[in-house]
Amino acid sequence: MQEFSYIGSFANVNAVFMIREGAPATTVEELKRTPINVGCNTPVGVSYINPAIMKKFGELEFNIICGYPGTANLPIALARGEIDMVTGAWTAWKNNSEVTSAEVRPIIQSGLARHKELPDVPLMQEVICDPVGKNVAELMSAGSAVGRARLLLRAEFPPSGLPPFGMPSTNL
Amino acid sequence: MKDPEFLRQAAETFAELDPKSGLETEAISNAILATPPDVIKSAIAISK
Repeated sequence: MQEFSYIGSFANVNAVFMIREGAPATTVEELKRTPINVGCNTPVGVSYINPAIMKKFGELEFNIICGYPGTANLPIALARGEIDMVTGAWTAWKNNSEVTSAEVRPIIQSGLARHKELPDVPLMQEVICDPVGKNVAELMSAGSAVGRARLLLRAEFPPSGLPPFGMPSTNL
Repeated sequence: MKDPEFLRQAAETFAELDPKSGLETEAISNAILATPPDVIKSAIAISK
């Protein structure tokens, strides 16, 4: 990494906790008292890690079920009512018909700043009270803020700010 | 990101744009690398 420089990032990739209409709990306060089933497909992705952070540090009553073979299976399980919540990138969810019809909605998001389209949806670290938990949430969300980044070798794009490949600096 | 052709193509493909500069992006990366060991330990425990 030390041999590369960031050109910049196109966009944040905030993840969202999507909850279905009719779930046993549908607000953050209710999630502290009422258990719900959260689907996930791998213990090393946001579908597990983000709910696990909120379960441990946010004291949310999540029953995390990691048996789904892929991310494509999770919205189907949500629609069937097998699970009540899934976590995934907002960019992947926002044009989904269940979202536009409000059958599924974001309740918490992960990132270092709220997504510009989700100004009323709290970040994980805003829900968590524990100071260490807030730091863990910020650490695990930081990749969302780096987002769609692009890198170049420092030799090609030194930190002096020279634009790459002859691109006019006015276009950067 | 002011190139009109780039912006046109982004709109056509519904590509989301909320740009950050290289320095802003690198600052986030540096903050990740400077995470205190106790926070890293707690984060690792979550994944187990």
